[in-house]
Amino acid sequence: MNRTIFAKSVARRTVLAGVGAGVAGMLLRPLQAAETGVAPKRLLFVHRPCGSVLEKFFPAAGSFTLAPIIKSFEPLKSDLVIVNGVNCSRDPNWESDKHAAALIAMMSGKKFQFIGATNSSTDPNAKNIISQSATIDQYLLQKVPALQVPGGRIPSIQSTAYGPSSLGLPSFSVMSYSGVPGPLNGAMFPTYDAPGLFNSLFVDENAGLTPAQIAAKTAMNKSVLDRVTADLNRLSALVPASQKPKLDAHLAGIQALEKSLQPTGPTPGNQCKPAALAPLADPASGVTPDEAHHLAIAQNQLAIIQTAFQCDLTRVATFTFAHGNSGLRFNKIDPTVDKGDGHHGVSHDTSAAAAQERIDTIYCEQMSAFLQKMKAIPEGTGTMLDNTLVVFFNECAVGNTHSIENMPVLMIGGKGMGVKTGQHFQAPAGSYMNDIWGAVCGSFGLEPKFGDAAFAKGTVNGLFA
Amino acid sequence: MGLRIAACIGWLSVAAAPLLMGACSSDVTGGNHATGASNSGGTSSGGGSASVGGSVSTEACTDGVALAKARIWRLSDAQYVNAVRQLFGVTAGPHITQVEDVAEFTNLSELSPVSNNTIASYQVAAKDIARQAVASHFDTFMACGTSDSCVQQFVRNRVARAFGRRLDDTEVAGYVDVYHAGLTESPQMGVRLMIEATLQSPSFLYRTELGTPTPGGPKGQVSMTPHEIAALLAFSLTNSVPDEALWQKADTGAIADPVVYGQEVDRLLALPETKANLTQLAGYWLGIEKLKLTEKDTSPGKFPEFTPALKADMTLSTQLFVQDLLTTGTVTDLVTSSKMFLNESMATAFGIPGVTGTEMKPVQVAAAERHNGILSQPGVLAAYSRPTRGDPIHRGLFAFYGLACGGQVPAPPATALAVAATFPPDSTERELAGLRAANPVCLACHARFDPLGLITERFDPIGRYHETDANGPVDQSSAIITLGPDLDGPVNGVAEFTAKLVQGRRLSDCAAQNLAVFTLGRDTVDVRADTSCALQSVKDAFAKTGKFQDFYKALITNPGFLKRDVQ
Repeated sequence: MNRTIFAKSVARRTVLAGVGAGVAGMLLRPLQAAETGVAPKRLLFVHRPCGSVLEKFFPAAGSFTLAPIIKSFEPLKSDLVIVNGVNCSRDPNWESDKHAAALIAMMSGKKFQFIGATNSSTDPNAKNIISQSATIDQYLLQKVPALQVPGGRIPSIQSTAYGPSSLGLPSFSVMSYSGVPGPLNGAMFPTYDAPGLFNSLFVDENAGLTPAQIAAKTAMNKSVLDRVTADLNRLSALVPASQKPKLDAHLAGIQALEKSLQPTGPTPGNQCKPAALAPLADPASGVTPDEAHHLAIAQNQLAIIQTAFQCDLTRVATFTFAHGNSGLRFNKIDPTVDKGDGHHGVSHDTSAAAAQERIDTIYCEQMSAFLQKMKAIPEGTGTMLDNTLVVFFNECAVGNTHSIENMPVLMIGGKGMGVKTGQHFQAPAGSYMNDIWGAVCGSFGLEPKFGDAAFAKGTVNGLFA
Repeated sequence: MGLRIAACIGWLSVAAAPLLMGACSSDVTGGNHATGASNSGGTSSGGGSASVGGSVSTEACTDGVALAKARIWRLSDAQYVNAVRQLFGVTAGPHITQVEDVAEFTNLSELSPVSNNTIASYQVAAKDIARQAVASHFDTFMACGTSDSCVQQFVRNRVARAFGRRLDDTEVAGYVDVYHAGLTESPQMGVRLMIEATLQSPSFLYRTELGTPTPGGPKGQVSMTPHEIAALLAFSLTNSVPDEALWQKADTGAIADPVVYGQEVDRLLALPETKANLTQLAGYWLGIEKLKLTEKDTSPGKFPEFTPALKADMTLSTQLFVQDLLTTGTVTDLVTSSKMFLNESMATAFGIPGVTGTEMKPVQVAAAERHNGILSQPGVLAAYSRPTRGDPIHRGLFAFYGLACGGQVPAPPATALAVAATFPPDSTERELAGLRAANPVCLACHARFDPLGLITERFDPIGRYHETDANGPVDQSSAIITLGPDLDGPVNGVAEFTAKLVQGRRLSDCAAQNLAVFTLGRDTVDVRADTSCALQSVKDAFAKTGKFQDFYKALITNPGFLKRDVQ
């Protein structure tokens, strides 16, 4: 399904949902597990925006009684690590948008890098920024062969449940960077188009065609891309140096299309047969599709990741519910959120603490519901969740102040990867997120450090066995 | 959606905005204007603020300053859609790329390099459009037949129009090859593939402003080719590729003749699509785009009147006001017009008598509070307000940057939000402004723009006027500082401010500066800092009549508009 059709679908309120239940039931045991008896290890990083209400998020010191915002994780308590006492790996005085800078700092462990231009508000904070280097997900993917699917054509998935990308710029919404030097340093924009992602992963567009027909089709596509490449090369020779990066970025995209000329769909022999996505019921009247579908799309996107993991199409994924400038109005989804402002506005409204708590609770409920599904899938001698390390975080600790101290971070699952689950983990004073990532790196046999050393305290002990 | 970021950032300012005193103070002393500084020589005097304010006389600008650098400029989704409709008879979009909200940036060529997702989206769109185009128009496209020479004709006509230039023989032959690849299936597929290739080619997706060296011109400067001139004109005004008449003048080279060029400028300026496009762009400056994203708390006792229908009316009303202003109005009208576009329901909502019917009609409003042009438009007042309450900070910043062109205000310090959190939450907006004015963290910056918001205090968050409230007359007084002798001093209400604002060159220069950003496709900060004689001569020409049509003519016919610096 292409982008255009998807957009129409949204307008007709037939966005697809329910993939999780429908698909999971259809799947056979994961191929990898069936073949070797050892399930693949996977990583899933999930971001939710605009800060939390810390006193309602963390339990009392030394306690493992779940606080109100994460009460929904009760059924996952034995899989849960509440990570307490970790600071975002950044300096709060850096000039730039605090949400965007924070997301980059959380994922890359370093200060952002400016790219050109500001927006017309000319606010010094409204500059465009990207990560300097590979984010933790891509770093691990590059360094750890066990996270790479042999012969796989989708190294990792990046998706989101929020359409507006804040200016189409990477600053806010991109969680993952490959770190390959270039105009955007390999920014991997998350896709909002769940059906499109589903199709690209699971639907073989050449199904039913003969080998000769497939070859003819490939030749036609190649002919088009060859002409496009010739045009690009022509223009590239004409532009001044300042314009070259634009065409370099363009060429990278064309080359990615050329790669995808190979047949698509699940690897032959892989017995993943996901059912068609089920249509979502019409939202209640008065709720815009944007907001009503947000959570449904989130569940679809997460279920797609889960299915891709099950089919062993990929082993690394990042998902962001929405970026830090989210305009989603949760009062239309949950009437107890009684403000007329979007999430970002609510997070800055000191008189709306209850609404802010409720929104963060909704996200935690969403995440818990999804992870419980993952936990219900047997895999090897345990569950799928045991073989998946999930890190669930926010780019701000407190939304209103953009504070960086004591980030509300949860780690879930990964028992089979050595995570010491079922604990309220208190990090040493002054620890940074980079220390947590360092521990994760260490668990994969890498040097136990990540990011800018100025924002790292040292080794964190006690997260992994 | 682009303005979400502005809203966000602005919000920071709300609670916090001010800068450390030193930072803002130095900005004030170092960057302020309104001192009548003349800069006719085209050399920048540095400093962050604009050359607005005192009267500036400029000698003839003869040194051939280019108004932009040589560049390639990727089409916005809207431009892509317009071009495809014009060239291939297919209605696509509105979203072509996954980027749904670049609107605020569509004017800038330097932003947002493509991601792989965007390139993939272009492929999907190209396949879809090619399929539709061939299904509907194959016979038209290939009226001549399907011989190779007919295919070449298709390429030399339609593909050339899409590229905005002539293709050379090698390129034409390359397209014939593409056609033959599709011919293995059918002639229709051959044409589909050619259209797919066209729509994915950088020659279509990027407008070029690369030019050829200016004869006798400064080193490193180029003049745009006739085809580039035509594309620049067409995209700047109609937001699409050149129409047939303009394409012909590009193809013959006639467009390079200043007389022909001037005629085309006049012709295009009168087109409805030009009016719509210029209104859309000015809407980023004048709050319309922000209004589209504005929501209010509609619960009982708050603003239940702000229904989707009223918001739509307010949006259309403001658009019509701006379009009328740009077409027939002057810069004085911008802040002193008593005209509003109203239908009965909107007029009723704002207590304006004598309007009937559902259609929006121009009305000269009698009530004095609606005699301040853009600052009387309910849509603008609502756009710069919060969902539940007023927002003198953002109304102030709107006037500060958009109308007075105050110098750049730095970003809030890290402690700003924490300071704001200490203010009593039940304070009125005026009380909060007082707290900011008394706090050393906030003062240095907020004292510069809060006063411009406080004068609008009689307009509520949806733009209704209330002379009194439960506590008596609503205070609309403030004291402007640091903007310059033309504006500084006590001011009581919007009318007193606009009366000062229309004196001298400040408003005219500021409007020119704000609008030039869009037509030149340059960064706001960059245009603010531009003290070249080329831009100055545009401002001078505009100031003579103050008519917005004269601004566009002056800008587009300025010799620098068609020159580029190679970097």
